[in-house]
Amino acid sequence: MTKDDLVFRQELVSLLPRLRRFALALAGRSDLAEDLLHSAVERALRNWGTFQTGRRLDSWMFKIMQNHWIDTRRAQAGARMEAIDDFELPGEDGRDVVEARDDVRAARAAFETLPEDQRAVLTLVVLEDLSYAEAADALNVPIGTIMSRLSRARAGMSALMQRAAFAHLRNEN
Amino acid sequence: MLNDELISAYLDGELDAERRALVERQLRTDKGAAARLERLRAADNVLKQAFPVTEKPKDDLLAAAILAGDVHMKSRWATRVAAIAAAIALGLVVGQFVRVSDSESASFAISEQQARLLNTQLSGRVTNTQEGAFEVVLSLRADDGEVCRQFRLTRDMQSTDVLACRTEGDSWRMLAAVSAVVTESYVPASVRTPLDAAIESLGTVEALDLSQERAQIAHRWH
Repeated sequence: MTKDDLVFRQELVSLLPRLRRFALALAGRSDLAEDLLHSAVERALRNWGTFQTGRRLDSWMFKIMQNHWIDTRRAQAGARMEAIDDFELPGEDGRDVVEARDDVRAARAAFETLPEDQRAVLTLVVLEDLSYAEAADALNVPIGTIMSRLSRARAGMSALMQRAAFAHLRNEN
Repeated sequence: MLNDELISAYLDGELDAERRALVERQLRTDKGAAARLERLRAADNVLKQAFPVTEKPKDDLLAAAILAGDVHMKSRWATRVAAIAAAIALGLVVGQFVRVSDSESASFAISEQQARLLNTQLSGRVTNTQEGAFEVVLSLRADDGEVCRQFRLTRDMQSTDVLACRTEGDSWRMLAAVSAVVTESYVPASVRTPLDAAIESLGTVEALDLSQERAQIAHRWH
């Protein structure tokens, strides 16, 4: 293993939690996400010679994952997103946390109902802070598509969360 | 009239100066648009809270495989974590161990401080010690109850991975050590490192997750 190779591997390791989050957003199920993550890492290690230094490794990995997901998802076309329970939340008690958990739960539920392409773009732009150009590159779509998907995803999230908040209020009264 | 696409792009700072100014002018006069912007911003914030980046014990396993130069991880891990032939002894450990030079192994006898950290520190936490940055990457329990932990010591850009197993009286013995910075020579992925061999020599092992580690530490590994 060369020193460059090692540096590359170490950076890859440091990205794992974020890559797993993207995998889960794409795959919608933790077992499929785990498979996707492993396959993408294998692919990256096989092809890291083609990785251009100066490029962002995270964007490159997101692109590999997206491509791999497109290649394999035909096999599980139509698979529904399962309830996401794979994220730990900080804090176990206290009223603030309980209140935060209600809208967090609503946000998760709303996210799960979104189509996969909208989950992917939300993850890359909102959670990962990628620019539209970087997200477009990772997802292999034009920037205009990123814009429209993102605005639909956000509108969907906000509508579903408002509905959840409303239902919650009604239950309390 | 502002459409959601413009508001959304404004939120992400993706508009050019001209369109940004246009949106800002509209937001000042159009209360509905301003409220929509706030709703989208709030939804973004909750989304970030709902999906924090959390490190999982699974990352340690994958990380160890990546750093070990193991391209075919899935199958290799299956072998490693599932029942590995119970080949305790066989001279495997000692045989592989010779690969580590004497001077290196001498410097990695488990020090008192390392033993204390092995007894008390969760995987994934880093402690700076006189000997370098110390991080446990993996905890394993063998079928016979023996507990072993792999840690990484990094100093001057050089990392050494060490596998140590707990012995009587809160102390630890080193089973194998390998320099993580291999020189310029190419090592094929299929080469087993001394650590692989040492882990296999433990027989059937299970990797402890963070909550199991926490419990073990609380019970002083008994």
